[in-house]
Amino acid sequence: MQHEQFINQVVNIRADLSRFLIGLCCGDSMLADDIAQEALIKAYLAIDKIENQDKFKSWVFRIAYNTFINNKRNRRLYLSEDELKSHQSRERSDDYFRYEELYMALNELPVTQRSVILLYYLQNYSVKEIASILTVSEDSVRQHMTRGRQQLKKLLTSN
Amino acid sequence: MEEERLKQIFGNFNPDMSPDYVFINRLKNNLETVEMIRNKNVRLKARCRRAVIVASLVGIGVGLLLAMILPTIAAAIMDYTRSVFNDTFFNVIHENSILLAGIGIAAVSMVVSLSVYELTMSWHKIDR
Repeated sequence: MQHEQFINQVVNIRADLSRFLIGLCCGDSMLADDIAQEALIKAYLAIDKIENQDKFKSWVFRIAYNTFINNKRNRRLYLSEDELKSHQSRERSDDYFRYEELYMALNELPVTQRSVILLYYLQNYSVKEIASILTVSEDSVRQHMTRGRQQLKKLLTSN
Repeated sequence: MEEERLKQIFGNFNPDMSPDYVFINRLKNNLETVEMIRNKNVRLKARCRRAVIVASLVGIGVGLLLAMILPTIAAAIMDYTRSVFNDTFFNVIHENSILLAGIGIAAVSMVVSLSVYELTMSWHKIDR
């Protein structure tokens, strides 16, 4: 795939990818942007490995999810708890407060549950597609979905 | 009912994000950097391959040349040790002069090869 073709495909999925990552990062849009850029570079470097061009979007989502997991692990390794908190609060924009309730509820969910919920409700992916993106079984996706949905309803109701 | 509420919440989820042109320009810059590094790596690999070939050829050439004069070198070692020394240690050298000359030739060829490799690598500068 040519450079320009890749950029064109990215333009088509950019909004969905950013929404997914902002949700995954619980409102930290700068971090979401950084992760999106890193994920897209990885996708560009591995573009020859994609089996089906029609699945470009879900393939990029899988890379973005893995990049998010790695980033989270690295941040835990290299930043202390206090640094992480101050980093998060510093980067909260006005927009954060518009969805504060949702972000706080999402933040309470484990990462896999959060991802399943976001992919299902935000991107309308099927259980099968979610399983393929997160590289887990379909049963596991259903389990995470049920638990995440219950917890999210409880958290949003209590808020 | 609650399911509908969740769908509505996520349906209305439309957070502010950086403008498309900013995001895409940043991506284009990143990809250009990636391409630049990739091209440099390709050139570096080609350079290394060239240097290895040149160094191997020179090493083999020097080794062959020295091997051709191996009997002369061995004879010279024999003559020298016979005329100068007369103890056990130098008797051993005297008796193994061919083996020693062979080891010496191998060592010289290796040193020459490594030097030629370094020289070839330094002659071909990386394009900026």
